[in-house]
Amino acid sequence: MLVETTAATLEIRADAADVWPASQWLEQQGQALAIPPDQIIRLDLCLNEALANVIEHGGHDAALAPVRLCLDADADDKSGRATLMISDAGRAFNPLAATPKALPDSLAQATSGGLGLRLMRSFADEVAYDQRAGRNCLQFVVRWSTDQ
Amino acid sequence: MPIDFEDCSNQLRRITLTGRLDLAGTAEIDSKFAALSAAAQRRVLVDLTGVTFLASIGIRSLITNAKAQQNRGGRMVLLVGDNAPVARTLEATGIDALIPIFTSFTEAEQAALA
Repeated sequence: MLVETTAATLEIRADAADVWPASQWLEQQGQALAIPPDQIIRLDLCLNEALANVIEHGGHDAALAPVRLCLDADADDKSGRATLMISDAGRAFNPLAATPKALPDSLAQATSGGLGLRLMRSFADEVAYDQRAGRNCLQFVVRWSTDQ
Repeated sequence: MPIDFEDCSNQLRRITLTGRLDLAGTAEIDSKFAALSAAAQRRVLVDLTGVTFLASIGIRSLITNAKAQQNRGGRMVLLVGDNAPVARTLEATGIDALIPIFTSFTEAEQAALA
């Protein structure tokens, strides 16, 4: 049985103060779309890292136009799939183009750079980036089994 | 309180973080975390068992304070208990190879004081 759903959308500012409301929206809409709680946590982590990137790298243009979020999900009797799209009008920035940094050998060599990218790649089953109409579009997909 | 502490002995301070270590949550605890770490008796056990969400900004804070502790000649260890999501996040970033992580308080305490 394929469960049809209607995508949820939200517009926020590229501002640290809007990250927590975005996480709350994700949790509420994720529940409404019947996305399992542990999958919502995976998407929440991706959302937080993506928004941190927009706030840090998006520049002036990102602050002028809303960041758009779109959450959708579908499931059948074997598997489920949720997609979170985040788009912003900031400076063109493809986080996936960055080469993953090698893990440092010691704490003394450790830097904080690259952590967000590592988390996004680890927690999403798929991450894709493209530019549409001058906006950065970052898409995360998570999948789960519904087979009991 | 998203951050609290207890001096377990003359050598060891336990700093307990709770709630979400996202952008807002980390900003809320960051300066107090640094101050509590810096004033500690060189050995610090950071209790993450009550952390419900850990983003990279929270991990940055852990790295910064663990490095500072090491530079002062001290040591920081992390206690995750049975908090699997937080443990998974730490492992995904490879930080578990740099800052020792434990599921039991006794083991974490022993490692901090070793």
